Amino acid sequence: MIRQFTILRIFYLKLLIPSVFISLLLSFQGGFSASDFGLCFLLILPLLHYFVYELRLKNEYAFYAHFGFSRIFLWMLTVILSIITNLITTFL
Amino acid sequence: MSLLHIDSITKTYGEKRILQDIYIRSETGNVTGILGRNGSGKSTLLKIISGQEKGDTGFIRMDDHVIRNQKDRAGRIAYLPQYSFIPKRIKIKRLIHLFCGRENAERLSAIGLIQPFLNEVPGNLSTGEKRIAEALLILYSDSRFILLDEPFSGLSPKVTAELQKIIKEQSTQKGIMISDHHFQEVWDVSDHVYLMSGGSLKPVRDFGELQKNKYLPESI
Repeated sequence: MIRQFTILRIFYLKLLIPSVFISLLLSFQGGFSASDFGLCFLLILPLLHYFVYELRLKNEYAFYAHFGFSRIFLWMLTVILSIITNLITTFL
Repeated sequence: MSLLHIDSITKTYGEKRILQDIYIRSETGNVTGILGRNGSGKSTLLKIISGQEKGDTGFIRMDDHVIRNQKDRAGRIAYLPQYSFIPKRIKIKRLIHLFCGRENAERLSAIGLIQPFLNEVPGNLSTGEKRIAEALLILYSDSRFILLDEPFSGLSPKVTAELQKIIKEQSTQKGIMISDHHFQEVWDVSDHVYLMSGGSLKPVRDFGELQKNKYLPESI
């Protein structure tokens, strides 16, 4: 279980920090609000997932697959993460 | 003894049928070699077994456990693809502890081939060094069945010989399937050799059969 969590941390480290940073930058453009941040995050996280793992590091999917995380599973997790963040920030 | 049973694998790209009703099995304690010309479908077969690609049809079972998805494969089937696949910024010694249990991690860390890279990240290694590290990580992983796609490509003769020795050692507890164009190396290390030709697998017993099936030139 700890190993699985570590693998997901490795996968999302490349996505979450830039996604949060870019979303913060964008949401500050029109005066910061949590719902604006959530909306930006909803769009940026899947977009970065696409650029980083579909275009740049496609070969690394074999690494995550070794630990049981298929490409489809990782995409579903990204979409769920961005939707949950958006929902949380909407109600903040 | 564990058994990996692969049955009825077919795969078509457009009009071209690459794999036609493939049946192959692997047992722990055995090395199975798969030879074949470029584009014959060897890598596609290994990709389908490892879950990297979907076959049109197919059935994979390990002992009594039917393998349906990637979760089922984790810890049972490990796959070394042709290309480099490990993240570039994680130290090799950390990767060892992710791929291997404590006992295997200690054994792997003690191997001379990997010791110079333990504190390196894959991004700083040459293509050949990365290949060695990746092959060893997969061979020493906790999985019962190991699929190696071109493990000897880009390796020097001395390293190839050492890797062959490690494959033989690991095969005492694991079932290993190898596909590579270095036919002599595959032949030396394998208990059974198959030739992939025309979408199907044929067992081969000697080089003469490889020549008859136009895999080897007559001059060899």
